[in-house]
Amino acid sequence: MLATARKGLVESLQNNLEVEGRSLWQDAWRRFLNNRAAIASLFVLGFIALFVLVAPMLSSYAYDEPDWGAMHAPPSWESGHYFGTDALGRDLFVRAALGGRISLLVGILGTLVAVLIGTAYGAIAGYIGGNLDRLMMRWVEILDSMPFMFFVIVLVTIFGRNFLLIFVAIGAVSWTGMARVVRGQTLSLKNKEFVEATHVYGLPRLQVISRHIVPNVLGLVAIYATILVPGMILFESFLSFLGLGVQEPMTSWGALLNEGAQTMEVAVWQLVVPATMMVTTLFCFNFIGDGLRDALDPKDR
Amino acid sequence: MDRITLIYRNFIRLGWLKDIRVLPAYVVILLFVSACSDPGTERPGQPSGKQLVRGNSTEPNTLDPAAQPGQGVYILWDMYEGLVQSGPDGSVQPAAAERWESEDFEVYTFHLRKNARWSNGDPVTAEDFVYSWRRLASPESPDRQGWFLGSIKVKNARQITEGKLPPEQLGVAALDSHTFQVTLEQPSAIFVDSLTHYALLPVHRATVEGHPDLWTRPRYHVSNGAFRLEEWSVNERVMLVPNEHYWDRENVHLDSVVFLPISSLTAEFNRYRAGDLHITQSIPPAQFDRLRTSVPAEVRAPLVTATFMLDFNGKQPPLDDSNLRKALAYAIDRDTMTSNVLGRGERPAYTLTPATMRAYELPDSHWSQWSQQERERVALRLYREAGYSIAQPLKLEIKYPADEAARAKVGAIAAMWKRVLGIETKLTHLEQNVLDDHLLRSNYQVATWNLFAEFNEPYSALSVMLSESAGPVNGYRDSNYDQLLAQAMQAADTTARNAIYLQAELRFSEDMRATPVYQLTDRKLVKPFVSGYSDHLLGFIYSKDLSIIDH
Amino acid sequence: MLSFILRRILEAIPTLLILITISFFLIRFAPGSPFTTERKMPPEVLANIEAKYGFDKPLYEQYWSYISGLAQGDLGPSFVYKDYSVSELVATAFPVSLKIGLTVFVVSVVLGVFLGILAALYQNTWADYTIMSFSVAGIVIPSYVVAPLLILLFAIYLKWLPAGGWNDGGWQYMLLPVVAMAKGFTGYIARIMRGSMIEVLNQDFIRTARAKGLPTRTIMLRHALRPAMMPLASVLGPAMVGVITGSVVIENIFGIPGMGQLFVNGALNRDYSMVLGLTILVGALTIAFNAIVDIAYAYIDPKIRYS
Repeated sequence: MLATARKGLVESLQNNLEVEGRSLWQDAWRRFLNNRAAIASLFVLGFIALFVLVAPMLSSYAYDEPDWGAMHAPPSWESGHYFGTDALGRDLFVRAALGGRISLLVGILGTLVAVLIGTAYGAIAGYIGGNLDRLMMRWVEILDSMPFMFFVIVLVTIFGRNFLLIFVAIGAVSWTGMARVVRGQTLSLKNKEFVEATHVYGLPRLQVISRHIVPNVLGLVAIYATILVPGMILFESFLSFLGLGVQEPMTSWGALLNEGAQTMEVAVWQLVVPATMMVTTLFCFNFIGDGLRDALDPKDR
Repeated sequence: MDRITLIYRNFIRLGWLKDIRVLPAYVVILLFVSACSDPGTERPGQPSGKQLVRGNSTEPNTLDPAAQPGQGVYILWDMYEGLVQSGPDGSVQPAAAERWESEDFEVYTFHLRKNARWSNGDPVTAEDFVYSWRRLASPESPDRQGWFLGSIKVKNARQITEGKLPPEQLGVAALDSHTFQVTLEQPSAIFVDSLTHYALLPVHRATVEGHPDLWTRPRYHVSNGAFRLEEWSVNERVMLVPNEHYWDRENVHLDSVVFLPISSLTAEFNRYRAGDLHITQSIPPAQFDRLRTSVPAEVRAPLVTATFMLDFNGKQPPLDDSNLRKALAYAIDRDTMTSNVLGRGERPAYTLTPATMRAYELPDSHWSQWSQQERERVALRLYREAGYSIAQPLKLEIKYPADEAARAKVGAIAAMWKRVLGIETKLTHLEQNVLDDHLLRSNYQVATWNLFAEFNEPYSALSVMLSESAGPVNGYRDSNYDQLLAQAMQAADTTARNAIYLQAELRFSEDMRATPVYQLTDRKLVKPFVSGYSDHLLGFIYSKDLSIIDH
Repeated sequence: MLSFILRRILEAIPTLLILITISFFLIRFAPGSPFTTERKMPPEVLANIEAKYGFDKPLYEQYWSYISGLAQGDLGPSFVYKDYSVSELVATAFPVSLKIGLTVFVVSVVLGVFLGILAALYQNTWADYTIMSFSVAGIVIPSYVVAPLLILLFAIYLKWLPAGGWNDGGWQYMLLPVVAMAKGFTGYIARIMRGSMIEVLNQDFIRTARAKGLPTRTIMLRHALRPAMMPLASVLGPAMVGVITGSVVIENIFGIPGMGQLFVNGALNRDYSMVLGLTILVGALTIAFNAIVDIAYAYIDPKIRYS
């Protein structure tokens, strides 16, 4: 559902995002700066990123050290457990930061893989066209009709022990939306003068794609990426729900959230801490995505 | 507000259903209407009358006792009646068999109850048991439990499961319609104790043969226990109602029993709180302490005959060294584990046999009798002798199933090993099926599993480590151990038998291919209006013992 | 038109076949088998079981026999639910997921479109911000957090609704699962609807209408609504498949006997035939709904031809 709704969203905006002159990026940047929600989100996200990087150094506790005397301890300044502890007495302040690293890493890594494959695939299919295009898009169609969950469960059991690899793998099967969008954009670029001009010089096709097509779809790619990242983070939390998430004692926001959902009546901070952080992050990505879209799509103004 | 209502009104008035362009909407609405018009029979939301509702953690894979791998045993015990049944203290009580005798412990004769009836009115005969046991042993049946007949030494059972002999050669016979005789390969004094196992429950021949694929469906199903199958909706519920032909029908007080397959502990707990459920399968760990103080009368947490084991793969270095394995076993502080990490009534375990089943007089030299400091000192010495130190720590990996309960204890073990020995442990949770696969291929260093004693005799637990057994994946093969168990089986006297079991325990702990960590508890919430409930040594619960009092 | 539909059906066959092939081999690559258990079985016994299900044959032969069985409509036996065939299990679970999914679908579309329009009308006011915040919240808060909260509030504390169960889908039993499942989907639709509605409202024909002095609500309903619904169409097909094939999270928490549980249990227990059967069903539904959307599009937009 996530993936399909996402696809529709992008398709709807793809039609609007016309390629314009050089000043597009400058204009877009100016418009983006005027979007208060997006800028605020950027700052909040920066703060969260800083937190997940720095917080473990600010605490005297280790993320993997159980304390049998302090299980389910509520947040307190005196004890140094600023966010309380979990079921094993491990410090949540540190674990939330560590979990954030994993969740963000997973989101970015998965997205990066999806974006790289999707952009290249879409640009090649769209630019070269003909039978190759038809074949490539048929393949995308097949992947799209395959249940995502099936793919992921099988990948998890095959790559079970390397969590990051799982996300590279998930990225490698969730690029189809990206490919469709980029292909569509490439088709419309193909007939623009500046691209047709390259034929006169006889530039090799791959060079045309990398120098002239790809730079011109980057805006779209950026918007799509801000939608993919939260999707990946949410998907990680779904895997944690199934018990197929990151290996202990390492954690992720999804894993913490799932533990918190079990203990919310006993230790509400175990739910509130990861929930606040994850939801804030996803909100930020959302607003930044909106900001980018508005900035790159002047017609909405 | 005005505008909102207007938009809403116009939404309906627009008449876009006349427009072909909203074809998808048509499809949706048509599908929706057809789905809703499904004439569902009205069922009461709350359990009514004398209906007992029990949690069953997962959907039973099958209701065929011969193929059931264990998730549906409560249902089987309610529907079928074996030769004997198990009392709360684990003692054997007459069930389908009224009495039995054996002179040499090699041939057992069971005299069946004359008034026992199947739920279709047919009498329960010795032929039924002959048929059921042969079917269980047969390699053709959808069998996974046929090994059990071999492990309790029924004559020719092993060769039959392996396809080397025909099922008719099994050592069972019907002397007359109500006399059932079993012949063993070797004398066994513990044979009758083992008959409480669910795989040995009888099935109705005419039904099984008449409807080979459908006989476990409510429409056809015939059983000889206190209840019969009334309804089975996969992943939703299994409902049983009393078997009107049951010989002890007058003492069955419930009008129906419902089993709900709920795998999430939190979900089950919520259903219990809402009153949908009367006996849960378990209790969410985080809720346990709170419940024990707030509703102590509803919380049950008896020890059961199951042990949490840590398995060391002795087939490959570095754990092919028995001293290193001992160091690992000794360094685990079992008291901290049971009282602090778990704290739900679990008990430290030092033997394969659950201590509630047999409390052996362990010698003072045995590691179980040392203080924890002493164990840790010895552990450190053995660890150093094996060539490891702070500078050169041992690196291990523990593989365990991906469920929330396992996390805490495995993490605690790793922390203890780190504190006492400085071992660096990597924890790897694997999905159960993958873990089983790794165990079978000996692709692990340390793994966890639970050792279940399925009948009330130490042999049940100890036999897992037999060379011929299907159990030991860690490579434990010791002919002396095998001989000890064979002797124990033949010893008629309990005291003599216990002495042999103890020797086997000591022998095993010298090798330490696996170490027991603690004895499990069976945690359940039971509504106060369920009467007749008692804690059972082996964790059996028969619904026929229960009733619901007015509340 | 007829030939277009016919061609879509013909095209779907190879797509499905490739899908089945990939799934068949992929699940066989996963470690473990339906017969691995904690207790190590004697090799002879294991061999017997494997022979019974034809697992002793080479993989390509098993593949071929699966495909030929499929051609006769046989999805094979389930290895996890051993007393049932895959077709039977799907036949009982699908109506449950369909019922809940269609309800979610209708609720989300109606509510999402309504909220989206409202947000667009009051663009950049508190109403817009509130609606959009709720929409985003619906999307980003996982349902395994929302569902237990709903149960605690409405079933445990207020005691208005049951804490779970299905009971043939009585409305009391459907209410909480539908809310938990629809929250994200409604959010998505509201966001899409708002975006496309704003865009339509800025177009020339609407400006002309405004200039003519037509009242806002007439403009909205007569002129803006239909074009603004267009971008939704491409989402609805696949999304429909998503909701009617069940959600394991919701089913697990509420104890609903739907397809999500079958799928996840099947995959986790290596119930090969179950997973393949469900994959085929989901694949076929996806292809079918995509085709329906395409046809619908062709009706709506005269520029598209059946080429």
